[in-house]
Amino acid sequence: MITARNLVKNFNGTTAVDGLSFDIPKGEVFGLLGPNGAGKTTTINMLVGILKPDSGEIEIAGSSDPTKSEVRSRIGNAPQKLALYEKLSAEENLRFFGRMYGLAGKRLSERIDSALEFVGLTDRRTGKAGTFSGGMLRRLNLALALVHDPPVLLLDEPTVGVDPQSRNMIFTYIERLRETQRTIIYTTHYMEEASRLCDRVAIIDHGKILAMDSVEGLIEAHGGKSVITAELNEAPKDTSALQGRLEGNTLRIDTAKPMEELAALTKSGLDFAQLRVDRPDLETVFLNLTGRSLRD
Amino acid sequence: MGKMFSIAAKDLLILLRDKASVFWVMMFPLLYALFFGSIFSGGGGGSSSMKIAIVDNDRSDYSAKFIKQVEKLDAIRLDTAITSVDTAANRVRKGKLTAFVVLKEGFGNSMGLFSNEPIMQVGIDPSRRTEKGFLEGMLTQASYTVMMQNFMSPAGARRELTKVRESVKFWDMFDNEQKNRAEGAFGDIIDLFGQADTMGNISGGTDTVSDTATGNNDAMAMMSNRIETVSITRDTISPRSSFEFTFPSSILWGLIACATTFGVSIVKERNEGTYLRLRLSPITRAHILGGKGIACFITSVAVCVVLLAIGIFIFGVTVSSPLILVLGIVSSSFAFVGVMMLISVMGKTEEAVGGAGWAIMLVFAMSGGGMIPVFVMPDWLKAISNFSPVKWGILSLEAGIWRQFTLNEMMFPVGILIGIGLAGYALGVYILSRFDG
Repeated sequence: MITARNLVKNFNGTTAVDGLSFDIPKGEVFGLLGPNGAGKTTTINMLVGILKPDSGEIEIAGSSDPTKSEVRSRIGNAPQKLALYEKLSAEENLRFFGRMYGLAGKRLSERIDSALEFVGLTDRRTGKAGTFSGGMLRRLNLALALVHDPPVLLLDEPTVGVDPQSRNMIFTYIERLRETQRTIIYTTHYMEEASRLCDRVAIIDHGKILAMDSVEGLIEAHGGKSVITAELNEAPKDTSALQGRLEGNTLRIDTAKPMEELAALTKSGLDFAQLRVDRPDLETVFLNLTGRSLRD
Repeated sequence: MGKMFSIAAKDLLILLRDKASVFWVMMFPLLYALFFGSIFSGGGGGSSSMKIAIVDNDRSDYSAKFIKQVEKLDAIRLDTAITSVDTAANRVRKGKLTAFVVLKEGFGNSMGLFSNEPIMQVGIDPSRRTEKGFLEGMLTQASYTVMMQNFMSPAGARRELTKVRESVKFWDMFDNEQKNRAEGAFGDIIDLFGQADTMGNISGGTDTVSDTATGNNDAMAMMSNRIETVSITRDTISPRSSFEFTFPSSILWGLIACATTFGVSIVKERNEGTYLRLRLSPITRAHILGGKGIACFITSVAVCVVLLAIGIFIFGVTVSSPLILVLGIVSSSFAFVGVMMLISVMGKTEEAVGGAGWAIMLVFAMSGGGMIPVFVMPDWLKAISNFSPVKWGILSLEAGIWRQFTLNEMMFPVGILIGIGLAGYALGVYILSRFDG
């Protein structure tokens, strides 16, 4: 459904995207995870034809030219920056952009109702967008991407600047979209969003894909070992049979197979006060791949 | 095309919901027209008084009294320096005077007699029918006031009645016997006033003569028969009131505000991301900018129509040629759509575009007659004004209001305005496409 081959884009001598390649099959939610300035939005803009790549090839919605009208009709875009008219109501915004996609009459009204209902703004349909909270604006921004019912969705940081409650609502909407077999590119710098929503994730930094796989695959390949931390009521006198490092009453075990190690520990006869397993996550993966945190 | 009109409709809706924009586009130009219109009309806020001259060929006490009475009328400004018919006619031709009045020889003697013989001539441009009717009314009022003043003293009444008695012999509707009886009756009344000489003036005196003396419609009609009209066609065409001068300028301020407002709206869309969202939809850049252009054009035409309607229905602005005026409105609005496109690419922020847009527009307005009329400018500034769309816009509107342009004369300013529109639009679109990458 979406293919990028060796995409390169430079701005005034700075390389924003440096040889990016990926294939996204129909119905997949594909995450582009990386810090701000990694090249995620530039990649999206090249995919929809707003930016022309310096080199490389794109295929999206069955065409290598994303500027074609029939291709754009099949793409919905929720840009990172809220793109709506604050002086118009939610319904007027949807009606206007729906018309831009060639919708009219009953079909347009149905799609407006559907989009408003999907993002939970039906009861605020006549309210001016300028009076909406940040979370409601994000939801309207998403509804505008959905009004023409596109099979391909590009969601660029759709939860930036919203409160936790609105963020959870947006997660729910995207999970529902996933069930409709749409192909979705989801850019974010929040690893928990990528973990929860994406079938596959490409970790991107300085315009390059550092790793690309399912979340489990990435963790397995680049996350390192899990750490089991056991607080003991009493330290054993004989430590020769113990796995890991004992520091006072705290035992730490690095392991690639935490469940097997836990089973062995429970049979060891040690008296546990607390037991905790720290599994690696995408943050750890990013840290291992780049030597710095996602939020640096 | 439907998508372009959808974009235009959206922009118009947003404009109407923005009170500040509505003020600059509609209210500010109206206030401008009213403020300067009132100042130029003498601060009264109404239409200006009629400037005339009276040439006194009768040189009688009666004519002197008549002229004095006309001078007292608020609605008339009398130029007392003019004493010859040629000078007066020349002034009317040049538009310096609305009309002139000649008091014919014998004016005093034949006033009040039953006769259709003209005793006054009014020289006026034949197109000024309203002013002519108004002036005749004022002259009739003055005549009857003077006549009634004469009747207020026994000597004056005796003199007037003697004139009437002497005219009886010319009354064709009577036979000789009736004429003799009438002369006798007038003689008795004259004798009666002769005895009254010893008793002083008739009560009330001259100061109590009121304008009700003119209330008799038959007398008014009779008097108007005694005023003949001489057609003096104006060589110089000029505005009939100060508002005909200020409304075209004010409309141009409205067009300037339209162009600046929509120019800023384009850069606002670019900065707020809606332009990008529009670019991602299946429409071209031409659709987006075409829609903006249509919205700006419709608003500009609406500003012209609303301000002109106020000018016509409230402030007495008259349209000499509706067709020419429509051409002026359309071509001016088109020119300022091009100006709008140019303004929109003068910066990358709303502040930059708004600031630069108004700064350039002020220069255009100053040099083009939006602040100071072009005719009072020095020659070098007049030459510069040719580069201002404001000058051509004002000219094209004045052409239909009071300049009385023919279609051929109108083609030149219209051509320039269309050229400005096309060049501005093309250049703006080209620069914007470079911004887009």
